[in-house]
Amino acid sequence: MSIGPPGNVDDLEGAALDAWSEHVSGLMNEAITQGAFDDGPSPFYNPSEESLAATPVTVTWPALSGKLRTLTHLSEEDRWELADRERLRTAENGDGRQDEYCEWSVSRDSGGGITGVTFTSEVPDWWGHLARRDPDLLVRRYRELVGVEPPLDDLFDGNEYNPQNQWNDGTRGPLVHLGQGNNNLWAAISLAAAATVVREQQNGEIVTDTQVLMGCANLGDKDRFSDPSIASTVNAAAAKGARITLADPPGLYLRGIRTEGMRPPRGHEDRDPADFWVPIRGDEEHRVRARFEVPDGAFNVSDITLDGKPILTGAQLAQRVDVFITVLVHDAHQKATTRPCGA
Amino acid sequence: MSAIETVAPEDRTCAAFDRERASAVPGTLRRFLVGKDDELHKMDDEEIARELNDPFATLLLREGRFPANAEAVLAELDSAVGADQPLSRNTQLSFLVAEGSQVAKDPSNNFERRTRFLVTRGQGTEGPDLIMSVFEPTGRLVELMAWDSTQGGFNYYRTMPDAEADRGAWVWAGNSRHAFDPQMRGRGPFESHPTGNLLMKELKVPWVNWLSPKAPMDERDFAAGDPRVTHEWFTRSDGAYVLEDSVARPAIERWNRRRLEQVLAAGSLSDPLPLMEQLLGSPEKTHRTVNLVSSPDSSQSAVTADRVRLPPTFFVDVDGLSDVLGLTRPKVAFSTSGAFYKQALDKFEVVVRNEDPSRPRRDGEDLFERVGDTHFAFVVPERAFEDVSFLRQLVVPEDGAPQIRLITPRLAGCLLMVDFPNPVFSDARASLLRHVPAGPIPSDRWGSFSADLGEAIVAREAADDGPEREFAALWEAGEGGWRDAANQLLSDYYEAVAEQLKTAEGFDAYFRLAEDRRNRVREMPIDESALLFAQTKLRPEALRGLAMSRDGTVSTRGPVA
Repeated sequence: MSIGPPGNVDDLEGAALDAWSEHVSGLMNEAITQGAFDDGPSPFYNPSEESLAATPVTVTWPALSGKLRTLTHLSEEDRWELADRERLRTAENGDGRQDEYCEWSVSRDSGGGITGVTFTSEVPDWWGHLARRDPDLLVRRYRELVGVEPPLDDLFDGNEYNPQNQWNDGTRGPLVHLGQGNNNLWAAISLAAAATVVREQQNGEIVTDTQVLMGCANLGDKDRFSDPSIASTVNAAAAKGARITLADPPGLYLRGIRTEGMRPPRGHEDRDPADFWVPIRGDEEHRVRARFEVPDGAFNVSDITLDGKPILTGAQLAQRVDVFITVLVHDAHQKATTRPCGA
Repeated sequence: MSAIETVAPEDRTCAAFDRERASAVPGTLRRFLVGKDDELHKMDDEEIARELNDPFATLLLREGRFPANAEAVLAELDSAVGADQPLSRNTQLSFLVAEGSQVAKDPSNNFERRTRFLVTRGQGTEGPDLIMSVFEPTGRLVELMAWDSTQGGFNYYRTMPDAEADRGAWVWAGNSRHAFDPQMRGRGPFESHPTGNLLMKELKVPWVNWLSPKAPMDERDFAAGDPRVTHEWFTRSDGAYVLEDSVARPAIERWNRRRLEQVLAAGSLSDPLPLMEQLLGSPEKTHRTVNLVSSPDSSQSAVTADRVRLPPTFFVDVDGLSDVLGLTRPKVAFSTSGAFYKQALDKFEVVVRNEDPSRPRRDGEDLFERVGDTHFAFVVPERAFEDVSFLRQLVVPEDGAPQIRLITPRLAGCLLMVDFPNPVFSDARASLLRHVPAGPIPSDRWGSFSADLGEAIVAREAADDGPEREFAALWEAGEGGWRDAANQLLSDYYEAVAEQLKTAEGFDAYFRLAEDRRNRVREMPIDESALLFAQTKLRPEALRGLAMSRDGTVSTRGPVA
């Protein structure tokens, strides 16, 4: 089976698309190799090499960082502002705050009012592939998404595509794709593969506590929403002897925005904020880019209130944007790969 | 102040419904307002037209459709509305909660996990219009709330279960507004919904007991053979964060807002006491409201961790004092050593068990026991969101919201700062209710209400360390000074707490205080399971009266004068 591009986007075709399939297949095989699973069929499998009857299981979480929400000494407003400002990196050069496989940037008018917020869950791996296969198309896509055609050199670091290039580095104005260091396809694949190993405590008890499991197997950050939910879902299926992979096309997707609690400004009460969510890239089932804006510009996004507070940051909307990944579970009824905690 | 009435337990509990069960007739709708009605009451057409204008009534009950179980409710709705209409299937959300989830993760454990669903229909900006709570999709006991846009408020319904009937016997148990009716306070549905609001006890991250990204559930959280494992309400369930953001908060904001709109429209506040109880707390157990919150750390990970993070609202009402009133927050997230936490669990013999002295196991149910704390560490009560939301709407209403201007930030701040180290169950703060004037308060007195109440409390300043004195110390700092004075008190307190958390003795004292607060919750109707909290060897009577002081220490306090 050929592996499709994230969101089934139509950027490439033919041999370039085949090369993407081979690239992702390679990532999956690498994850299987790293897993050093027991003899026999590995609990994580490569769908381009094995076609198995499987049940899709969707794992969903909110786009605003769970890790940020543990900073209880900060007010909600301060956390939102921090999330907007430190997208890719913190002030101390740590991992950026937009760490749930979804990033956003805010467009403002000259008065500071929010005119729109663009969300993306598009993995940088695809853009790196685009850069290798068709640099001219890469530049055209940038022009479509950021409104300016960047010099090709700006997008590369030597011969390698730079996901954190200056045209995808900002928090104001459009962004192109995911850029935070942990937000990439390899991270999702390797997490899912590693989570197929069942862990046991020293006393022989199987680890079922998600946070303990994550510590046992170094499965990402327990304070995020995405990592624990993916790890726990995969691990529970693996414990039953299932074989698991990512559904095609492998990627992280935007489910949409929840608008309960949003109130348009006075005089526009009849407008439905659900209409302000505009999908941009990805097919209907696999959105990878969308923008929240008032299509006719009758008022600004910041004129809308959410839970009684004006929308002054993109993070307030991110809390209402849901992200998902779909894993495939094949009931193999095989013996689960089990290792001690920490091994 | 108005008198606080005492209610005979047999009349105020939901058990009143069980008493009437035998007289329920399948395929009918009856009224049963506990506290007003002695028995099931047939409603005439005029009363139905006046009282029942929520979509559940207009689409089903008033059309003679009486579904027998929760699945049938949704099926009947599907046949009554088109695909794109407000209550259609594509607006459906489902959520799962179980006090016995996470701790076992073993289907061979045969014990009651109290697994139940919340299913909603309708997705507008004000949240869903229909909210249903059931244990089993085909179970005959259904509890349902539906928003009445004519009267305002949620109508509360339930079935009177009958295993044989193919049609349900439905009862209208009241509207949110009845929560404040003196005859109905704390009775029937308002036993667990004292302000008429939706109850999501564990509202905040990590949403203790709810299925969420922080605590996913899988089939190991069910007993072997439980058919709910394959039901779409589970397999397609939404995380508790959706319930918080898209259901609970909007529903609570909606009713609070409508309450204030009704006051504004009436031009008079009929009784200020319920409103002030939401600020100050109540000595009456059935009027009390809390949410439950915990550490973001699971107990099993916390015992080996360097640090265990503790919920800030255990120490201070951050939501009310800081988020609403803008007073200073703790500068760091409160935490203690994982070793201290582990020592406390061992020392106080903490265990999760599916029975306690007042709740024996069901026949055939195995004993479930796990040494240690609940799944998430350090579950404690905090000020309820319904009260924080109400405070915000009263004191700092948003543009376009009802502006009754009854409570000024200064009055709210000075009241909430009384005994601030005890953000819930403060007898000192609740004692200030004695100064609240009896209603009604007409609109021409709203503007002076805060000043009048503040001055009335100052005039009654009594004992040296009494709550009136504490209030007066801030109130007399004046409009320009009370905030600085409050911020200084809070900053000093935060430093003192942080110091206490550096010692095992300091954390032990907080653990004991937390257990006393849990004991207070155990006295409330919302405590429905022995698994809600872990149990300890600490005897309740030995903890009674424990209170936090401004210096961060915990000591026993006598009754308020």
